[in-house]
Amino acid sequence: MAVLKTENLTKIFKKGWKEAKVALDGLSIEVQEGEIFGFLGPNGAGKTTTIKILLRLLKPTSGRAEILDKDLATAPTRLRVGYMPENPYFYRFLTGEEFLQFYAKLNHIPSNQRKKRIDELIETVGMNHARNVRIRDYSKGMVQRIGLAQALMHDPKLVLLDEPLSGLDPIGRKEIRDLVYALKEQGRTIFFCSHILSDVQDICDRVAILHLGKLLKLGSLSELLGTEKDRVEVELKMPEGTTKESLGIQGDFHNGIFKTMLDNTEQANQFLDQWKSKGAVVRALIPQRKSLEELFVETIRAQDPKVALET
Amino acid sequence: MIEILTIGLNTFREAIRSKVLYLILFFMVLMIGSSFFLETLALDGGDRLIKNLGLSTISFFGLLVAMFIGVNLIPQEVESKTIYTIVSQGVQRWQFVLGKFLGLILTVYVNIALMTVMLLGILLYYFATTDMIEGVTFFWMIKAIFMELLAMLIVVAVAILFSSFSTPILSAVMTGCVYIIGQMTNDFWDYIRLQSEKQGTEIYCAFLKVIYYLCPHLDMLNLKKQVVHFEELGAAAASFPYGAGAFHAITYTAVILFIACLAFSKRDF
Ligand SMILES: Nc1ncnc2c1ncn2[C@@H]1O[C@H](COP(=O)(O)OP(=O)(O)OP(=O)(O)O)[C@@H](O)[C@H]1O
Ligand SMILES: [Mg+2]
Repeated sequence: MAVLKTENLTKIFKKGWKEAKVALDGLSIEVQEGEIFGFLGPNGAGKTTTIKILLRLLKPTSGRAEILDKDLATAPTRLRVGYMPENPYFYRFLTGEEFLQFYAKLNHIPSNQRKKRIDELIETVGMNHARNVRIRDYSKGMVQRIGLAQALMHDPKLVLLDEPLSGLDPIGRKEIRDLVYALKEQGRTIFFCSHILSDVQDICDRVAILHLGKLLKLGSLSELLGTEKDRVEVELKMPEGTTKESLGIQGDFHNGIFKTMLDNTEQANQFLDQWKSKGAVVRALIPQRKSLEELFVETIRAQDPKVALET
Repeated sequence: MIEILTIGLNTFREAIRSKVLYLILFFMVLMIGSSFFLETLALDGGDRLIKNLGLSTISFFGLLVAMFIGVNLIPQEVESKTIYTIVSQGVQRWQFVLGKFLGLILTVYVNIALMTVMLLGILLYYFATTDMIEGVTFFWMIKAIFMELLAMLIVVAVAILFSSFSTPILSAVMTGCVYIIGQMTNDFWDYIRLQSEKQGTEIYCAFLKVIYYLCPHLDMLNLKKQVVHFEELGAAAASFPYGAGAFHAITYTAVILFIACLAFSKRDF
């Protein structure tokens, strides 16, 4: 069952009298219940714009964007979505706990249950040590965590996360990623925006790749990345007297060690047979699955060869 | 309702934790305090300066809070992205606007209460040192401050309205203009009458009249003249139209807030 759907969603920002900026161009996606959906694209792709339209913070120029949860369609909107904005800085004059109290009250959580709920959330996002510190004194990662707690206050079934891992250190990234995965296991649907692809790769069920407002790719990771075209990295110790020219293929050759990438296992076998018979010794054989990052770069380069990507 | 209250109290907390408020309060307290010394220097044997300066300070304080804190409230929530999370958790935009208004007016009222205590204390001390206890003066002061509280409703609502769709600086300037014109609508009307007697000023006068009718009539809520001269004015002072003033303040505020809610609901983020 789909819980979130956009149909031909288009947003054009007017700049001055004549100029216009197409932020979204006929975007159609569907997010299924219970999945982690990676919404990917470089800066300016239109990810945040999509979320804002879904939350009714922006009006689309044309097309539709809906959050459609059958069970919740009749319930108040507050029960529907948890949202964590990108680069938030929230109420800097409040402490983390006061901040969550504010949202607990907005969500009509009865006063006798508030403390318990807040304790739970603080525990979940690992902010117990800083619950009485003002947000102005938080690090970026701490703001991110308290933001996540806020998004979960009303126990939403759908959670929209806009760059939830930005500003986190590697350990923090792993922790939040595990947390997002735990949310999925609790039966929530997660819409995960990012341009940091390695973060998304391990946890997303399906991804959409967006560029300049257009949907370029949509599908499950195995569909998009493929399985059969797996490449292999091989490393051989070559026999004495081998020269770079005699190898016949591209690769690194230093001190008699040759390292190269072969497109599939067949090629690898051929190459290995050929050289082992001449006395080469296999040092390593490493299967290389295409990463999401490569797919992302390829897809976007194919669309727009001049684009500069930070990868 | 709980949404409006929660947002209001949060806004109040934000204001009382901000340095700007204490800076403004510091100068206002300084002004009220200095009125005492100026009065003793003035040697007019009266209490005019304290009353005059005190009431002006209270009114001016409300304006400064609206101009320096009020106009920032909504833009700040957009900047910090809190408005997005609040709206996504089911709070209606009009509830948000009313919450902001509530918080700001609460801030202004609490601080005016403090300043009133200080002002009346100084007046009492002044009377004690000059042997001229006058209960009726206090009565007039309380009435004047009460009307001032009503005027603050308008000023704060105007600041919220402008900030719901425009930048803080522009909002502050506009709020200041509305306040100044509002304080002298009577003089403004005289000016329009004078102008309309001249030749070829129809369009100009029509324009001025629009401003006249759009601006709040804050001088309907200004009792300073009565407070200072209630003895000379006698019956004229006693017949001040309190009801009309209160009605104007409340309806004007309601309309302004209605427009602010509407503007904010239509807005894109
Ligand atoms: N309010 C606005 N007015 C004008 N243009 C806008 C506005 N908001 C976004 N845009 C433009 O729309 C495009 C998409 O922006 P959006 O914020 O959705 O990108 P994004 O995918 O979230 O990027 P990032 O990874 O940097 O967060 C950008 O080119 C941006 O300049
Ligand atoms: Mg973005």
